[in-house]
Amino acid sequence: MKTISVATEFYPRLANRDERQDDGSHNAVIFREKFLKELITDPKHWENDECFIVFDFLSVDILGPSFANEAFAYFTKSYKPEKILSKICFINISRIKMRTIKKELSDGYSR
Amino acid sequence: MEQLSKSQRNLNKTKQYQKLKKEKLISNRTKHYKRIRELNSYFSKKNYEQEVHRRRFIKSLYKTYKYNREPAVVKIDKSFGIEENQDIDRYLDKAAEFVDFDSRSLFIDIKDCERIWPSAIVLLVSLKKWVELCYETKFNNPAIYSGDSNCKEVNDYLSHCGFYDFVHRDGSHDEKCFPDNQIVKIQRELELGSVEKRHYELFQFVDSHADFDEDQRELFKDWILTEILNNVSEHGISTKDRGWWLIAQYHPTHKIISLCIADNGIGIRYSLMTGPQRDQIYIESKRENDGKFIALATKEKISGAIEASVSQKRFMSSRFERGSTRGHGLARIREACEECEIRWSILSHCGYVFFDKDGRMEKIGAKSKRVFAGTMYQLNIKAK
Repeated sequence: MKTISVATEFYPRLANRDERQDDGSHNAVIFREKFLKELITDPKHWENDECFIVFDFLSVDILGPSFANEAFAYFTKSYKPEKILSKICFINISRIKMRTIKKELSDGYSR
Repeated sequence: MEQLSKSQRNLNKTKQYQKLKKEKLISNRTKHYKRIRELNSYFSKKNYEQEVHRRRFIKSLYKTYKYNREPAVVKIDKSFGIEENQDIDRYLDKAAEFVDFDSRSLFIDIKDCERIWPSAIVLLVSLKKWVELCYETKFNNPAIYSGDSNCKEVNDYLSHCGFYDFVHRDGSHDEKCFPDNQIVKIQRELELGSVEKRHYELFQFVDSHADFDEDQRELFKDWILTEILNNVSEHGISTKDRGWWLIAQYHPTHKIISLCIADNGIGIRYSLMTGPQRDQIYIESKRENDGKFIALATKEKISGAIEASVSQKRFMSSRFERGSTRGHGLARIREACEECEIRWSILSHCGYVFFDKDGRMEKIGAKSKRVFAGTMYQLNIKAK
């Protein structure tokens, strides 16, 4: 189980969904490819309920709903929100940012 | 040596031009079908066709107008803007008078104007930009001009907010009446990568004056500003114009911050109707329904984005790519504005929707002519 400091290892402003917003940098598609690729490619990781990855949101300034949707709600294509939250864990995250993630998971992946 | 007549030479030139045009067309078609063959999945092919369809539509939207009618005059008096409820109808009627003008010149008479709000400033600058995008030739560029107001505060404000700088006009203002720390001046952003800087600038400005608790503060920064800026930077750009606008003004007497973010894009109706999810929309695409399209975009999960999910038609039904539904950026903005008790509105081409601080739609409709040359988000944020 690895712990990723999102602000330092990715970016403190998580706003762009894909390359079409602004200059497309630090977008959710890149985030998902960088940190969650194994969860996409290897279904064996989903056979248990152990946490696969922990995201540390210390110093993360902004988490936009579109980013959260593309990065995390993407997995609702195959799994339920509870299952996703058991595999992807969050620490040092504010109430509003956690609410953003849960809201996107409950509404499902939307493009 | 046989000398060709002038008409013969012109005919030859025309034939050569038509031949070149045909070759270019064939070349473009070849490239297009080659690209289609390269794409593997049904959904990526659909998205590519969608992009081409949208580009063609944008070209036709910015088609050249003929500004050949008699000079027109528009009179603006009293208070002009949508920040106060009582001025909304007058603003919409006035805007519909001149946004779609087709005269050789347009004179905006502000002699009797007593107050001009940020929403009016954005309307005027976006109109000027729209005309620049659409003019046929340099010799057919219509003139838009205005005089001064009899009210000194109006003239001072036009200088202070950056409007005179934008239209290249000299002006000065009284610093005591309009301190610089109460405004983010009208700015037009052209560069990709400018969104982040403006996001933080706007948030810091609003945070210093707004009456928010901690959660509202974070919702405003994360949901409202992020989604609006994503929208203008994605949907508000075209092959001709990549710009978007912003202005923010703190009004201590009215205890509000007026924030306007706008683009000169194709509007919400056209975004939805040229997007991949247009088959799911059952509203007739006409100007009178612009307001309904805006309301639809805020209520339901629907997206005009090129990369939005497409449905694959089957014999009895159609299906989306597995697990995907439809976009909900505007729905998030609506939800967050309700929680932050923000009165806000969207004006997009002919349509408009106004929301009260409890999130209810107070006013929804459309004029027969455009009320804004693009899409504008206007927020009234409660101030300390």
